[in-house]
Amino acid sequence: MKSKIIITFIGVFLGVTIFTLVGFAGPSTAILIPGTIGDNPLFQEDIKGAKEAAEIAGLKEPKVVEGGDDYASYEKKLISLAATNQYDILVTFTDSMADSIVKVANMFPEQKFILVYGDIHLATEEIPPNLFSSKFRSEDQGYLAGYFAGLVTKSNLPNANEELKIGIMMPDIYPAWNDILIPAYEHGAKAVDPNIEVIQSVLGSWVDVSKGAQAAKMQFAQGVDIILLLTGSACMGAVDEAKVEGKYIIGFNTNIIHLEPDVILGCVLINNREEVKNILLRAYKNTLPFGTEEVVGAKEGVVSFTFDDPNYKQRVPEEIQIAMLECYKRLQNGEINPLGD
Amino acid sequence: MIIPLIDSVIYTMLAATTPVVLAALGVMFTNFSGMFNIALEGMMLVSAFFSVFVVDITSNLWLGMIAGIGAATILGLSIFFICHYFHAEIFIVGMGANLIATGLTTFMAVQLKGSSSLIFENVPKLRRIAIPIIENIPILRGLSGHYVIDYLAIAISVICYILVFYTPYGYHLRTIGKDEWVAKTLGISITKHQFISYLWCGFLCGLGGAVLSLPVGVFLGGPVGMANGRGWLAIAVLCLGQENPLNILAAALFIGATSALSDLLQVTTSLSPRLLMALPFAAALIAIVFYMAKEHKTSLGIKI
Amino acid sequence: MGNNVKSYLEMREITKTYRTYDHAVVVALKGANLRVRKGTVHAVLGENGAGKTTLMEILAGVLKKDSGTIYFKGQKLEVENASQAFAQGIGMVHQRLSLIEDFTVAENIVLGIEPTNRLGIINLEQIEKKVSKFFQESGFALEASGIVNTLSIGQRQKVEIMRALYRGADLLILDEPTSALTEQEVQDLFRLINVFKKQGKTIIFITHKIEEVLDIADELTVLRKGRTIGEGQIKDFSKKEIIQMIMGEPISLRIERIPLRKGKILLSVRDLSVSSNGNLERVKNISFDLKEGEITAIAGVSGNGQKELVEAIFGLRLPATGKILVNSKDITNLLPRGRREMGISYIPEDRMNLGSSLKSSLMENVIVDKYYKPPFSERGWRQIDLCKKYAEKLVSNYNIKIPDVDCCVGTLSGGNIQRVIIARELTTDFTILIAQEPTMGLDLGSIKYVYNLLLEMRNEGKTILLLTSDMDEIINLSDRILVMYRGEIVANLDNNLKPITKEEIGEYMLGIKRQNHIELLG
Repeated sequence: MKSKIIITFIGVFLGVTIFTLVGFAGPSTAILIPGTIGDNPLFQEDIKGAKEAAEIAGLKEPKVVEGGDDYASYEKKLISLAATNQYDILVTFTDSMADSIVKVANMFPEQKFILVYGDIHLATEEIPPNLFSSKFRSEDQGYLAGYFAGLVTKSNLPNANEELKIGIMMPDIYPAWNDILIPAYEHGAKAVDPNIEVIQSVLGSWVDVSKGAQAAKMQFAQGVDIILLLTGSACMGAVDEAKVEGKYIIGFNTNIIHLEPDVILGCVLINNREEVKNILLRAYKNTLPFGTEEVVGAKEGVVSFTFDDPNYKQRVPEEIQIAMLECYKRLQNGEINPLGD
Repeated sequence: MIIPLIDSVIYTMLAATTPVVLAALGVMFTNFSGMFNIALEGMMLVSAFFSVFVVDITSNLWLGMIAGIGAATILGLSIFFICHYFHAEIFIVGMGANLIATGLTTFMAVQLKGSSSLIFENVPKLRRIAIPIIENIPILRGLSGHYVIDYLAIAISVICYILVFYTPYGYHLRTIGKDEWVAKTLGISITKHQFISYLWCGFLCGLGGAVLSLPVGVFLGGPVGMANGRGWLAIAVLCLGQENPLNILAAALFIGATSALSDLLQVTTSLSPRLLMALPFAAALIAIVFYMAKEHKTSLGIKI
Repeated sequence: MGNNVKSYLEMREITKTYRTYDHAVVVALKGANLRVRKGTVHAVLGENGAGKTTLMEILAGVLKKDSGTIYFKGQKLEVENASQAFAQGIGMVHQRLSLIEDFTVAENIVLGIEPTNRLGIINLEQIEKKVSKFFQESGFALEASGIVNTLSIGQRQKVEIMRALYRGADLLILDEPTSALTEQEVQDLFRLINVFKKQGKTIIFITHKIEEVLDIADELTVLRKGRTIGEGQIKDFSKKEIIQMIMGEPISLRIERIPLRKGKILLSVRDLSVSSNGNLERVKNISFDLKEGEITAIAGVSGNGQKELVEAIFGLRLPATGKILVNSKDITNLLPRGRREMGISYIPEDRMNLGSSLKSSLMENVIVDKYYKPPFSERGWRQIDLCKKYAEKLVSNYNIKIPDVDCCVGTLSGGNIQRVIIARELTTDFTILIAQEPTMGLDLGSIKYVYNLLLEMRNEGKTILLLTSDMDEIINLSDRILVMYRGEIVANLDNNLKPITKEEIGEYMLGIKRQNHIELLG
């Protein structure tokens, strides 16, 4: 009985492996998504950008491989993609892939690799010659959000209270957030008023919506009136709680104002679709400087804010809108160091 | 400053308790009947999906709730029938049901809406119900403003208590739980009670799943899913509460309190968030260990 | 014959087959017949595995028959479950008592037919009152609000009998009711049976103790291997004839026991006190020695500390004070495995839980005390083939009926499980054997076999500590009898000087008499 089960498992495993390997024939770009596509609008945008690039260049549609939820398997998947020798360029994303991509790039010197929004310096000081890395300045995002939160909490918007407290909520703990994003958020707020205090909550889950609501309740009880929600659907619970309690929310990466226009006042955006498209087009034209790293942010227009959203325009007081535009311009000009001096 | 914090701790404690106590009561019935169901996580997940999905179609919250309960019950009954008619091992079928629930909801979500995480816009959401006088009393205020299912959960715990200890049904169920042989010699049908216990489990886990998705109009699938370990926590709660529904409620409130405390300490102190996130689980573990040490229980009364 | 039935109860050509866990088919009944007249005590006799219990459980609705017909009170009887059987007036008291230990007596009595108010809620006080009243009417003195686990086995059995009567049983089936009772309790039970008989109730009495049948029954039916072998009035049969019918061959329980010269002391117990779970002192300051070539019986009404004493000797219970010495070495702090290695072997009373692992195979069960030692394990590796051969050898030596040594022990009958335990405990290098109820629930053939084995061991110079509730067994087997009363040894009797009688032991057991210090030294 047991042996039957084992044999069945091995059979299924081998079958799936062979099927996937055979399925890889054709396109010259492959994209490895470190995670799932369905619940991550960021990855969905990335894929759209890559497809647009291929279409413009007249190439076959890129092959998309979903890494799934097994973190440990991403590196193996990257290696097997490189080992098939069927793709000219392998693209993957985020800080979490920095180590793996450097390791695999050194293993396959003939293969070209691109890491988008990942800090390659987490893995190595010397970037391999067959690897290009593009990193977003998340400090720009943090600063913009913090500045906006500061303006709102000080404003006389109906639901803004007296207390100078703003919140930030994240699904989990990441060094990049702790070292860069949160300090930048704090700096942005303190640029409005040095007395503003930042309160943070970590949910410990990406999907537990009620947990998000409960953590938001605690923050509001502490006197917080606006919370920046980092990625992860669990944070969506906070939106509902804010609606009931009469508080505000700032969205992150993608525009979610339309979900609750009364509550979500603004969102810091990254235009990753354009960025991915841009990088790939340069790669297809052989103008991409492999072996180097690019850092993009507000200056390049990759990091921005929901300035054009009709709800934003209608609901946010004009002086705040003007102050935000002003702040964004100064960020672009390099007049502001988001991480402080 | 302190009083609103106490309010929110009490509020959060009750809110965090609801799904756990519902699932724990559900598994209590199956434990009595001798077919311990570990697929709580899966049953809550299918209910979370179908309830919000039906609300999206019909715009009727009650229909959604019924659909969630129905879906959880169907999953529960499939477990029952597979185990009963094909003599399958209940734990393996339960694990399978958990996996199927994850796979099925994610698959359907992607097929219907293109993503494993559905954020429904413009669906009616479960409303909070304020209790007139209590909502204005500081500290007690935390008892007001919950969803209908939260209040139901407390009522159900009391009803279950009466049911288990003061009705013939409860006596029969406990008899089966303590000694199936006795039930057999007295003509108490074990199969019938196992079937009914799975109906209960489906109903309760269905409510527990609906309370996750209906207030926010969101469904999140994937391997962890929006049940987020509550089904397993419910089994821990059953270990603490044993066979008394009121003890189960107390144990669930205890777990809920630690969860509220972990949220509170995050926003008021600079303790490591990573440490604080583990608090409810660590508290459950420590409580069980102490309980076992005190009671000299080997297997917590749970029959495996 | 049709429906032209004169008997009160008639079971015709009943067949029943079981399927075990491994899908082996066991035929329990191959066309058994039973005819019972109203108002009689009817004994159903047979060896272990003859099908007595199966036949009765079919009648009580606990099991379903494969074929055959039952007529009861002139009507054809079809019952789906025990509830329906109760409703027809058939109540059974099973050998394995079916009471919920944490419930009160009253709760157990009404279990399955609980009265409720209009809202479907049970009122416990009312039930207790009702049950108390019922007890009074039946002349039965027991607290209705008492929790069952505080009752003795005899009292529990009465609770079960009362439950059957409470549910309106006219036909009472008692399955081996005396196997766990003391002599006194057995007499009580028989008195009760006679009362029922006078009230016009009919009693079916399953047993394999022939003396009891002669004492109490009016008629008998003998089953052998699933078939009815004989039936009739008790007065028409002699004891010998009944035994012949049961066994298929004549058998005698008499055994030859020649006194041996006493050897050296193997085990000494010094000033031993043991407490029960509730911190009640169950064994008080006991000292005695066990010598080579001697069978020492411990007699006593159950609950007088014998069980705790034996558990302390084997290491299942820690003594409060005192020492246990084997060959002058102190073993008081050793675990059971350490004690086994000192040469102690143990046949426990609870064969299903303590004596064997029902879900493990026979092979695993017989090597469980020695699997880690050579030759069963060599350099940390288990020698499976050797273990298997060893198990097969035991199966043939001890005549255990099992298709394969890999079959799990839970599929065997009680008597066969007992053989497995005896096989394991006697096939090892022991010098001291503690045998607790070694023949409980065994049929005559098996009992005889066990007696011979025990004597053989004794003659080889081993010492045996025998704990049994069967007085005949004590008198037939033991060289020396220690009687325990309220945790103390009140008598030390030498059975070899002059044969001790049951009455003599009984006086000490009931605390009527007590030896002085000099007599106690033997």
